[in-house]
Amino acid sequence: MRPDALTVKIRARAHWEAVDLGLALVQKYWRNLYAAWLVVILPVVFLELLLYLNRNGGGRYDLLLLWWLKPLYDRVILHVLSRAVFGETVDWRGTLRAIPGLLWHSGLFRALTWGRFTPRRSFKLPIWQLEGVTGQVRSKRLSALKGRGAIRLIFVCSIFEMILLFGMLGLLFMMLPPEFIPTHPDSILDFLTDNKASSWFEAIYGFCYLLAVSIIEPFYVAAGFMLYLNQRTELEGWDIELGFRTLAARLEAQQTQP
Amino acid sequence: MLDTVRTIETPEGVNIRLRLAGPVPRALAYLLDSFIRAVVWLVSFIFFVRFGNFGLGIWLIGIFLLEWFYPVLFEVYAQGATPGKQALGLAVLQDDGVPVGWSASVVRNLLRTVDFLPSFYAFGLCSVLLNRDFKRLGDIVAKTIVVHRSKPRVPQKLPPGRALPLPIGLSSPEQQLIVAFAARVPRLTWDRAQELARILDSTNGQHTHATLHTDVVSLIGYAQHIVGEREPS
Repeated sequence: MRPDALTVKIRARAHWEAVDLGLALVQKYWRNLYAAWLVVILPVVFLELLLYLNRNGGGRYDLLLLWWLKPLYDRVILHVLSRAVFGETVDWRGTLRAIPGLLWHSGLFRALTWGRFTPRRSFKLPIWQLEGVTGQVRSKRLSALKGRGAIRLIFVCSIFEMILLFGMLGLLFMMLPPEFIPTHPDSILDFLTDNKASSWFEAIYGFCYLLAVSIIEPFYVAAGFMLYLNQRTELEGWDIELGFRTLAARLEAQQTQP
Repeated sequence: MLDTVRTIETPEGVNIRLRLAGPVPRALAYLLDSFIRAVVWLVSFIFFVRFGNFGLGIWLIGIFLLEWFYPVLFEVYAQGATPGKQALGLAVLQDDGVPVGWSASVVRNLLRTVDFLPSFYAFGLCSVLLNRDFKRLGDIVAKTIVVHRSKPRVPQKLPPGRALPLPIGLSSPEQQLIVAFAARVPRLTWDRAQELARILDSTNGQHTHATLHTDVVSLIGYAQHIVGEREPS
């Protein structure tokens, strides 16, 4: 990895600044990110729809699948971002071509099973996926880089997801004519047990959740990636390296024409 | 180069760099402030409830004032930062970098009611995520920004070494760079430190009369010399 090829400004940052840089990254490359996002999310949405339409009474856990597969989406987002920081853009075709490699060489199986509940997911992902290390080396890398701020990041991002979800539901609720809104306790119970009404509600809830994840997840992955880059900048002196290269270039120019 | 810094030129021709603060630290600061206010609510309730309905009336007025003026007073009188923002190292400024005044602060805080819609700051969050300067709606209307005020912790202490005079003239930022390198050496691996030092080797092996010695020990020596010159003791 050559720090001088990066298109993000390398300097010593506090970790919250690195997280904010993640947002700037998403704002700059959102077209590429959402092209890749659609490639990976559309099949999942299709699956969800099949589950939703073919169920008989049960099926209250459909949305768990959408949540559970987050590490899969994260890998696609990071693939686009890791190219973008070197000034290389990936379109949806490039994403499609990259997916087989991402499925096998980024520790996806572990991330979807016993590694699903790690709170430092976003910070570990670049080590798993971009450094391509495994086993002992990987654990050593993890403990060397530490990942400060990553747990607070996932805490705030899950709050953001809930804010957006309930914001959208609240907005829809405000738009409903008052006679549709159950107010009496009995009628609320009727509403929840009435299969047709509650299955409508579940569909709307699912759609809002999908939107909330689509908005927050790219930001979450980008922020974790920037935390990782920032940590490496600090431990490997990338900011110094860039400064030294400029200085060396000046000294060289001075020597050739004294 | 992508960065979260906005450079603003003051009328005096001085450039100031403002480091914008995004949604995550701002949300944490808000949570802290809410917690502080909740404690004040509770403690004052326990105090005022002893005076019956009259006490409750006073308490409610107090709550009203607290909710609306807590951020305004702190922003105007405590360098643009409520206690929550202070803890996260944030501050509110006007767009042109000057401290936030009464009118801007009142506007941005009254508009919290809009940012709060439809529930729990959903509009405000969307606005911060979409805006290039990470502004919520109240910031857009009041022409304010939230910035990072705390500097990242950079090591200052130099490793011991014998001061070496610089063989060539270096500008002030270049001298600072060498000092920064020397201060960072204890945190780098030795191989990496040597690798960094060798970048400065611009002679390609042929030694002319005045060049930098590009080994770690000499660079630390230069740094000692630069620092020693700055503060003669």
